[in-house]
Amino acid sequence: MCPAPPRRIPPSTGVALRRFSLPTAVAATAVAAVLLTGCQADSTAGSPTVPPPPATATTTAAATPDPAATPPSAPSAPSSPRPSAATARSKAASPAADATIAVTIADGKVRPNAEDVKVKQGQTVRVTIRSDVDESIHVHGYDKTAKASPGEPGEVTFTADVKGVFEIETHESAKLAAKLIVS
Amino acid sequence: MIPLHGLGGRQDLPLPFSVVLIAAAATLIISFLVLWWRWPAARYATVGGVPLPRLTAALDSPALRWLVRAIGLGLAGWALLALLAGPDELINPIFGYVYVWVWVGLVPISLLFGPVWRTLNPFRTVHLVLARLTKIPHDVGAWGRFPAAGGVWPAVVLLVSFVWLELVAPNRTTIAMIMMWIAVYVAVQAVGGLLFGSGWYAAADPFEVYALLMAKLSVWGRGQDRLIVARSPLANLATLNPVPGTVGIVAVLLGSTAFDGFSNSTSWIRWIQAGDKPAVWIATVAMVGMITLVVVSYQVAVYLSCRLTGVDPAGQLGTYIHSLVPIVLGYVTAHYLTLIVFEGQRTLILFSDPINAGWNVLGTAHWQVGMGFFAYTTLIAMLQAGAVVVGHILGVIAAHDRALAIAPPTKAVVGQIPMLAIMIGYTLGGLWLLFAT
Repeated sequence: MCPAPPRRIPPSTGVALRRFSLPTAVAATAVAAVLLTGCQADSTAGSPTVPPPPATATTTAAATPDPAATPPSAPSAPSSPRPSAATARSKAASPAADATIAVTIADGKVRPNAEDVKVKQGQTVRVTIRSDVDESIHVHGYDKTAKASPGEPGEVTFTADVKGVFEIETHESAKLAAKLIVS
Repeated sequence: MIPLHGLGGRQDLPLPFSVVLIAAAATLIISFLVLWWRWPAARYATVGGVPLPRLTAALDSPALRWLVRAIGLGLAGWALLALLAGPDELINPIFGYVYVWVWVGLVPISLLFGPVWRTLNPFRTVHLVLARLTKIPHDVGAWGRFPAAGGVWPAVVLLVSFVWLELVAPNRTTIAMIMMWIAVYVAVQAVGGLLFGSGWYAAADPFEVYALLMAKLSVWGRGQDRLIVARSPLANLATLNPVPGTVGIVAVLLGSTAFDGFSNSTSWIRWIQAGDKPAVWIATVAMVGMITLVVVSYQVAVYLSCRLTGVDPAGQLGTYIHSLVPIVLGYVTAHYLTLIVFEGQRTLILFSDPINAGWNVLGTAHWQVGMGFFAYTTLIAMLQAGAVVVGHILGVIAAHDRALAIAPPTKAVVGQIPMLAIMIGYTLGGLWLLFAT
């Protein structure tokens, strides 16, 4: 079950987002991203060792909010096909995803911890990873991997074109972060 | 519990609630129909089947036997190459070979072709060749034959270790872990074969014992003069002769599959992963617990059935085990149907290049895994639920027949009620696991 809608956009997110000249559209993306990924955003982003990520609206948004702002209770992910048409324009290099799963690994803990993430067939899914150790995250079945090391987040985006349930799991510690349910 | 489901890149969507409801209703209605649709005497125990002398001559020809043996040995040898020289990554086909081709594939092979696993079994082939070369009899070892009282207990022990490897063991998709298990397995087979002759494999090879159990649900059997006969699977099932440990085999298969079902649910994994729980220990205890639950419930049902029919329960433990064999088939079909489609293909692709050297020996290296089947989620759900229900129906009929085999018809209907109760329990439990996870 994914996180509750944030009651407000965290200020830090707002700051990060102003770099893009489409604040409204991007804020919508941020809401969507937080909606989809939310509770685990254990902001390593605030740490000075972290270089600015290869900024995309969604990753920044997902990674930045402080945990207090995103209550860890949760409705399921929205299944509307495109959260915002405008997001596609926000950064050409990294097109918007319909669902983002932001995985953080800190002190040996993996967040989210075994969440169900529901998407519809054909939607795009982005998995981002931030870690305080060398780690990679693997999407089973689709065989997608994103690597991260301290200060070097990673991400992978793919289209969920096969129906089924797919485990998204850390490679080194073999912890289940989420199950991607494509229906 | 380490959530990495061995291979299992893709899992099935939960069954739709409507499908579960219909399947559950069908289960209950058919159970009671069979209960009232009584027949006067055990009908399957005496069915001979249609003898097929020509087919027997063709299938028993030495050339074909050696061809099948060569296939079994060749596949095993190729897999061994991958194990010993291949990369320690999931692209090594050894994992798919062991966990999918052998473990899952033996079921459809045995259903289609009957007890062919005995001929495919590479240990038997090596054993036979060595015995021929050294001119010693193959069926007697240094210590004679394996005592009948031992039944299939060695296979039960190895089967438990295998399902533990498949479902619980940490790092089960690493070469080190799978190699350790295979080394033990090979050593047990080889040493036992030397000591007890080729009869050992029937007692100690968990894959062969499992495969022969499933072959009892094929249409192929042996009649008089070892002629191959075609008969109804229920008649074939009635020829199953339980030995010490058969109940154990069935219980391990049922219990471990049920365990795999619930241990894959996100709520179970979330609970295990929260905090620093000894995941492997918890999973081990849960799996052993599920197996024990099957053994105990089955024993209670057999005991009650004997009491209700006035039969001495002593020595009757295996009497009703036939009725659980189709339930095992229903469970594993529902559970592994899409796994064998998905990982089976992937293994075929990887099998062209077992040591990751850029080979394309089988010509499959550049194939893509066909995913078309997975679009039919409703069909898959219906096949899964259908397999469980059909397994249940066959089981109930078999139980009815078994009750008649041990008790007079007037008492047999009452006698099968405890068995019916636990079978309904297993079936609804199986459906619930397919729905809830």
